[in-house]
Amino acid sequence: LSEPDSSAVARPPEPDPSVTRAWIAAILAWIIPGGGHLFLGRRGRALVYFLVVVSMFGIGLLLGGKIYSIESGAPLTFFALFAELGAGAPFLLVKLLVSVPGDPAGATFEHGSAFMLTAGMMNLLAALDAHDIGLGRKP
Amino acid sequence: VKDHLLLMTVYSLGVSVFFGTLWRDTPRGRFRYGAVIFASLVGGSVAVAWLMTLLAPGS
Repeated sequence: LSEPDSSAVARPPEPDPSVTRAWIAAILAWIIPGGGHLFLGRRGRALVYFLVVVSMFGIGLLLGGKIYSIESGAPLTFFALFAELGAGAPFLLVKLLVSVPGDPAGATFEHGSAFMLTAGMMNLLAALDAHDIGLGRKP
Repeated sequence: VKDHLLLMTVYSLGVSVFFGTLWRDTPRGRFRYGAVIFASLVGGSVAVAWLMTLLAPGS
C-alpha cells in the first residue's frame, strides 16, 4: 500500500487576514466609537468619530432624551433601541449603570432623543466604514 | 438649554463634521463637504420654519 498523498488531503480554507482584520475593526468601532479606526491606524478619523459620537450621545442624555428598550404595544421602539444600541459602550454603560427614564413632557426630550439616536446611527456607519477600510475598499 | 436654534446648530455641526470625515478623504474636501451639509441643515431648517409661520393660525 502506498501512503496517501498529503497534498491531496482537503484542508479548510484559512481565513483571509484582511477579512478577519476588517471584522475586528468593525466590532471594535461599534463597541468603542473610533476604536476600529484606531485599530487600523486611522488616528484622525478615530478621534473625530469618538468626539462626535460620544459628545452627541452625552448632549442627548443631558437634554433628557430617552434610553429606549423594547416596549410591548410599541413595535417602533425596536428600531429606536437598535439605533441607540449603535452607539456601543456609551449606550450600554448608561443602560446598565444609570437609570434614565427620560421625561416626555420635558422641553428638550425630543431633541435629546434625536441626538442619541443620531449618535448611534452614525457610529454604525463608522463601523461599516472601518470594515471597508479593513478590507482595503477605502483608503 | 432650551434654545431650539442653538440645539439645532450644535446637532448640525456634529452631523456635518461626522459626514465630512466619513465621505471625503482630504482635509479640504472634508471641510467643503461638511460646510455644505452644515449650511443645508441650518439653512433648510430655518427656511422650512419660516414657511411654516405662514401656515400658523392667525398669521
